Amino acid sequence: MKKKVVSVLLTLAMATTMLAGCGDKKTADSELGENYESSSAQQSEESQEESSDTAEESSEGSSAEPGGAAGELDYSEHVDLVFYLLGDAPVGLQSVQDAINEILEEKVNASVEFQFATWTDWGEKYKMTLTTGGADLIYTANWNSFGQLAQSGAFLGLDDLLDTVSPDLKAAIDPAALNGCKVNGEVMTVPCLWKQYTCLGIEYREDLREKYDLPVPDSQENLKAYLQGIKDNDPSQGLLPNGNNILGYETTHVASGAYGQRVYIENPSKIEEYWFSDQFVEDMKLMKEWADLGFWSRSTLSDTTDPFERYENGMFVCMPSGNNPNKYTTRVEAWASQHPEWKTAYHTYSEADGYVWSTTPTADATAITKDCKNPERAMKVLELLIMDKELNLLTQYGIEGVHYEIAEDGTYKNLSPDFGYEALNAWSLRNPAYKLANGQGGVLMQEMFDHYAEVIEEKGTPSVDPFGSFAEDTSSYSAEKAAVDDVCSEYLKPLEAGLVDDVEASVETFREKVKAAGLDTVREGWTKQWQAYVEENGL
Amino acid sequence: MDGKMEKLTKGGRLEETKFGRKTGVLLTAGISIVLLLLSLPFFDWVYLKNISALFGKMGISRETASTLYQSYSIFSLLGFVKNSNLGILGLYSMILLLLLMGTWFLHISYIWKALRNRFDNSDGKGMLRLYVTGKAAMLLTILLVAGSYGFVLYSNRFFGMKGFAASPLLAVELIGAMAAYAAIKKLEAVERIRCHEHGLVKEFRKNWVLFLMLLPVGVFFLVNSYLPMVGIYFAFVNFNFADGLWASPFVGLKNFEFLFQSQMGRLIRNTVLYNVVFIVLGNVLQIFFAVLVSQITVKWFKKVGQTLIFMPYFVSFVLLKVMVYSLLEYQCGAINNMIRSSGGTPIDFYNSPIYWPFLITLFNMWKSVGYGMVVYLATIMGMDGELYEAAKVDGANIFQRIRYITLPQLKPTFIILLIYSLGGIMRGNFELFYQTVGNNGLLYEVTDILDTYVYRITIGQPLSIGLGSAAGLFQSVFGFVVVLITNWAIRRKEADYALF
Amino acid sequence: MKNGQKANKIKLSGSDITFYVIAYFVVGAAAIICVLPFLLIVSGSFTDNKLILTEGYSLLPRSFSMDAYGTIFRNPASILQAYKMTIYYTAMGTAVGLFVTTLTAYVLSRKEFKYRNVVSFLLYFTTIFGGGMIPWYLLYANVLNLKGTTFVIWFPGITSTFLIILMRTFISGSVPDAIAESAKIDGAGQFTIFWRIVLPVLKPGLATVGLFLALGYWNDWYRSSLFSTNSSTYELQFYLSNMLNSTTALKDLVVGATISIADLPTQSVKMAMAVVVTGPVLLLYPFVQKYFVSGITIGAVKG
Repeated sequence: MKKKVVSVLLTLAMATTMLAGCGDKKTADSELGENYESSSAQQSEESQEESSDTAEESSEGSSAEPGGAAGELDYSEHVDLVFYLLGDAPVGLQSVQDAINEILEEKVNASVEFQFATWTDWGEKYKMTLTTGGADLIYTANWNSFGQLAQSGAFLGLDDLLDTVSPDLKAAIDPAALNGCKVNGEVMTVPCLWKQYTCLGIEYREDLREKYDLPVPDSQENLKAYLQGIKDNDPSQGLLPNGNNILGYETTHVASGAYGQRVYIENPSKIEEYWFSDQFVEDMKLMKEWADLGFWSRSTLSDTTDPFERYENGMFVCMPSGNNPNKYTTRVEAWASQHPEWKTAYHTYSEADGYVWSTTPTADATAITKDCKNPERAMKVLELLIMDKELNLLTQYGIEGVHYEIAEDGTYKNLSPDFGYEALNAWSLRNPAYKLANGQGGVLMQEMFDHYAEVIEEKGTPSVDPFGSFAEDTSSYSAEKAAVDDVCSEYLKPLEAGLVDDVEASVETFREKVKAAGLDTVREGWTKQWQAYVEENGL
Repeated sequence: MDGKMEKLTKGGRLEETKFGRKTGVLLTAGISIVLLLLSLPFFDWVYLKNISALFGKMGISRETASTLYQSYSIFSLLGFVKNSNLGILGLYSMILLLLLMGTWFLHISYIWKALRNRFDNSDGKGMLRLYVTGKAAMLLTILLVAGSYGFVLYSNRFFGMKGFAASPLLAVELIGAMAAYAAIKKLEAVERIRCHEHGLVKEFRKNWVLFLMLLPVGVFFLVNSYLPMVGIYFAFVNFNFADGLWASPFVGLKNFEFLFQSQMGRLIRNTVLYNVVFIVLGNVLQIFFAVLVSQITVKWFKKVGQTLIFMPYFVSFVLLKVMVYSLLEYQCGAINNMIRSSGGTPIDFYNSPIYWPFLITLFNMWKSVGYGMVVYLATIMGMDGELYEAAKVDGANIFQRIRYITLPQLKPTFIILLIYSLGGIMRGNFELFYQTVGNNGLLYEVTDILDTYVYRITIGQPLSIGLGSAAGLFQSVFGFVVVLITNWAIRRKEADYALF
Repeated sequence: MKNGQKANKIKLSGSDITFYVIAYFVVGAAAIICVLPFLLIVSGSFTDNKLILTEGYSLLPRSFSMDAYGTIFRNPASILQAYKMTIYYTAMGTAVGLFVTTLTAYVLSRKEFKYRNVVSFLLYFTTIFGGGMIPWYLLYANVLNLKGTTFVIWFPGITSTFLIILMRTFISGSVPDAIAESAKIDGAGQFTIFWRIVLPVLKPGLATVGLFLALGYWNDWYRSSLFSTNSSTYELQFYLSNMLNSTTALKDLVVGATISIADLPTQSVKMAMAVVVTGPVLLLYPFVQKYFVSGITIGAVKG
């Protein structure tokens, strides 16, 4: 009721503003000739970018033919570029930047200034830099809203530039990966050449498992037995940080899903119900059962300390969520020196099915911003930074002999704290041809990656996550989405943490509230986009 | 006043000016009415010409065209901007609309005041105030008309063709406003002579040093606050990167919708109640401690006590969170450990909303009392010591001295701080709530405030500039209304205590 | 005031004694409540990070470890530079800010200034309505082109409406209009009145506003976060909090990418940071307190 009154008020306010004095006005329509065709009718199909003049001007640069092959680029004018990266600037930045620029000046008459978001409020500053046009080249990542930013026109389309300016670079990129970087049919960012695998898995204490003779937590029952076994033997040992993802075993076939709907890999065009299914109630009951068994703290919802840090210090016995080979190998290396008596192990959830495809290419990539004044030169510089061995090594490890040296076994050895391993945070520039392994963890991680590649080959599954590049555009239902998200954080989170008294009643409340918040609108919007994506990619 | 005036104007001339005054005011008020009527939405100020060519340039489709008109009033201009998706004209139209609102307000108050005015015995001060309103109304109208012409020129230049035209009405408005302005100015000059008042120019010449002293702060606030205020406009656009900040589509009040979801009542209740408690209890505690500290005579105790009470100010909210969590956690929190060891049942703080209003108030007081106390302490120290001595000699005990001397002198500071904080009544201390509660949905009923809600909604949405600005504007308008009412009430009772 | 205190000691009535007992007790208790958590922090900063994680906090360090301070001072040159810059910003900003604030407050407290309500309103308006961070940043960074300078770090903090209004109440509380009027009749200009008559009696007010300004600068990290392009211009608080954020941020986001993780004893470093930041201020605060303990009253000037 209240909502109704408010919306009526809003509508009234809008109506008075928009339609005031319409009375007997003639609409502009009547003035237009019979066969009026707006020139933008075609334009709007091409891309959003061209809906205003300013945008048109800036995009002209990209679509203009730079004149045939790469060699014919005009280098007569010196160009200064800004390369925006995440994280903090290393102490030795200036010397490395000078070394890079010395080469760049000579090769393409350009210089690059590396600017950093710093980790404080990095997300906000990253957006602001894009908004205010403060960069030419910029690091992009799907975990940093790449999809939405690209949908909204923050980056230049690179199709032409890749062909004309940097064919070598284009040739080096896995076509599947390049395809994954397309937004609305156009490549928007240059993916990292190095294939990474961030297959989710569960990390657990192998030493404790052996000690108490417990099963490997490779299924939900085994996880329960593993946890209960440790609890029985050592009641003071903490078990889990929270209830996140203990249902992860069941969802290995889930390709995507949002707002309580699920899509399975086997049939991605079929959308299946979750929140309103009996399975959901069963799952939530399970969460409560586990919570009541004392597997995690009753204060978990307000606990914001880093669970990984506490796992690392032996306060938990397994990490079922947010984990990947990279985190795991870091721990292996850390424990080797700090807790040699402890042993950690990793079980990849979907390895048995072969769904261990490499990370979405957009997870680690470089784009050219729409405000870039010299897209050709920016593209050329990007190509050199990735493909030129000398430049690439500079961006990753600093100056050889000053900041690092290559050990006899071919691994990386740091010489100066001023510029550490990948200190520039130019992760998207990593090139496997020149990449150096770093320490025990680095070597182990590469081993795991090779193993995943084998599994993929064996099972014949796709090498690149085919669902990863889906980018939802929420602009047409943002208010409803906000409301739904909010209901989730208030009613779904406690359910998932198993902290409610009566599961069925709470599930009912949640369902009612989420419906009232506009779930149907949001689902409709998502479903439409998902189906279009599936169709477009022939999945 | 009257006697003085009579002496000045010497008999007959008084009648004469009074008569001239009445005609003048009524005449200008009449013009004012006409100007006001002409600016109503029934009269269109901007026409579209060469529509097919223009729409072709703008890229407007046939469908969109059917929602557009051939002419627009300032009032409906934003509708044109919205329906045609031409964000580039949005800010300009918005400014025109604000100007229009301003002229309406001033015209109506001028007409109202002019018609209610009883010319025979009104004093000169009142007349001068009336004239200032009238002049402001006319000036703003001139500005509005100039702005409208500017809009036409700007749009034509932007689209590179003569697609917009100004209505002849604009010329009428302009001439009317200019004539009325001149008339009022003349009336004002007469009145000024009679009351020995002078205008801005003379005032400036007289007190130029004071004006000069304001220059640095003027520059500062212009750069730091007033120029960035254009950002308020973002509350009305659906930002996208392709169009950029200034040309993104204008969407009217759409961004405000997310605020008016079902939780709105709860959010407002929590935000306002917490603020009221913080303001009232905070000030009371600050005064309480300031008085106590000021009366303590042992010097080292006074200094150390004051320093220690100040210290929590330096504890960041991140640290506060860490400490609070280790205090309240269920299994191994300090409080529950104590309860357990004494045989009680532990309290499940993080799943029991009932404790949180008190806990949050406690944390806030703990952190802020020392800081706020300084203000009152300084006020007490600045007081005249003789009064105390006199009271002491008269045999007043310490409670009486505090009650009758200290507290009354703290009143102005208290009231100023009170009104000052009322402006932020709809703004909560985000860090306090977010850090101590986190994303714990079980506690939202009593801990969710507008700021935490907006944060949850906008975080992770790269295009949420509009939503954030809309929430901010809502908080501003709410606070502004509260402050205006409070200030008005206080001004009526004790003018000296008012903030402005 | 001092004489008064002596007289006080001689004849204490019953109710006075009650009052003092309460006063000492309450202030003492409040001081302990306020300082206990701080002891927890100091102790935490000297405790081994792992011990904090596994066993929680304690008032006395269970094991003594300088790791946290070692981490913070891992790069002594950088942190000293941050200290130096912060002192510079604080000194510069407080000095300029105090002058500007007091000047404005003085004008606003003068009854003869006809437009004082208009100006007050214009100042107050800025505290309610704001355009948000983006246009503000755009103006300083792109229009005025000040990104990377030290000026842009201290300038936006030189004054605030709150401080001006506070100062105005101090001035009208301690400088009666009559005094300024009589000085004016004696032929003193506005600036002379301000400099010679108002400023000297305003010490508690100046101390308060100066303290608030200085604390504002000392605790600021936001402007560095936005405008510093080079670590040599970092503010202390930014330097420290960024160090901590880098660990937490990296740990949060590496789900989707293979990024190396920095390692930091986060818990104890948080504590040590508070100590490092608060320490110098605690040493300085007693100097400011002097003005709260012995404010000069108008009576003294008149006499």
